[in-house]
Amino acid sequence: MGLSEQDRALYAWQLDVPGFGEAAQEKLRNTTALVSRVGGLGGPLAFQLAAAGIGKLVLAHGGELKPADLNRQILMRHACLGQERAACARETLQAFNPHVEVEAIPENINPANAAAIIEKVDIVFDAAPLFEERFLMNRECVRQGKPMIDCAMYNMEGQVIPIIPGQTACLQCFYPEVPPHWKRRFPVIGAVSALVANIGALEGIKLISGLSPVHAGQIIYLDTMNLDVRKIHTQRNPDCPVCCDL
Amino acid sequence: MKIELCYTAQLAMEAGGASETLEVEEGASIDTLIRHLAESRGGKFAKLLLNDQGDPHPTIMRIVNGEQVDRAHAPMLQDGDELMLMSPIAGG
Repeated sequence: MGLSEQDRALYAWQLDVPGFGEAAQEKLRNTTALVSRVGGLGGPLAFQLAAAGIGKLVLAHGGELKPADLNRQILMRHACLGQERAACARETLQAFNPHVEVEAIPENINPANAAAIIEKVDIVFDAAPLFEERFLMNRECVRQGKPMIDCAMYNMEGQVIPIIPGQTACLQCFYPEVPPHWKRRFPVIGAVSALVANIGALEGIKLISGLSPVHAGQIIYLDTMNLDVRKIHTQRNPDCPVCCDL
Repeated sequence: MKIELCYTAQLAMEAGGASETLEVEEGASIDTLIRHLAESRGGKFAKLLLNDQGDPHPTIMRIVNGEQVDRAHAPMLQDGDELMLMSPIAGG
């Protein structure tokens, strides 16, 4: 089924992007994406996917909104303090684009839910603050053969790693174990996490729509203090505990 | 020989800067350089670089002239190389 007149009106300006025609828009509309979590990084990432007209978003994020979240978590609102973050994010996204289906899961990715949640999506956007969650998503994506756009930031730096199982290194090719010095609390200005989020969203949109090749097999690294952007060529680890058999 | 060193994230914070030039012996390996950095600086910087056994930590990514290199088969460093040591990050 082609685009409706409503779709053409909503997405008219991006349909003008050379190489991004109605077929690309249809691919987006037929895609379901998981975004985990929807804080400072996953929030603006989910927002851009909704703006671009993705078919369905699955948002996984546990816990209730706290004042300290509000310097960066732009899907949240002061009025939602003390309420579930996932529900608040869903409400914001639905108000912005009611044509995108949004499922809010008020839980973080964990060993009990990872497989089932990833089974119902086509692509995963990883914006979780703990390596344990990231490793779970990575393992499931490799097992199920689904792409994952891994996005991460710290202080004034960020990185985006498009992971395509069997073709690129997976997350555990880089990190064979949970880094012991990573702490749940990290320094962050919202503009930095949003910048990393937008690059992650764009890599996902390119992958889904076929607009252009994604930077598969590369780490896109940003140092926003010096406005330094690098594309680092990576290699698979033949001894990777997760993807060595692919 | 001279090596251009770059640090990211936690390593950059503990090093007090994102880059420096270091004079090292000809043919030095990356492991040797990492151990030298840890021993000469000590403190939290050393803890980020070395694990409890005193070996270079496997979660620190090594990038030589823009190419990630394997920990087990890393090339010897050459004069003028840029070595980037990337601290693992997961801010979300």
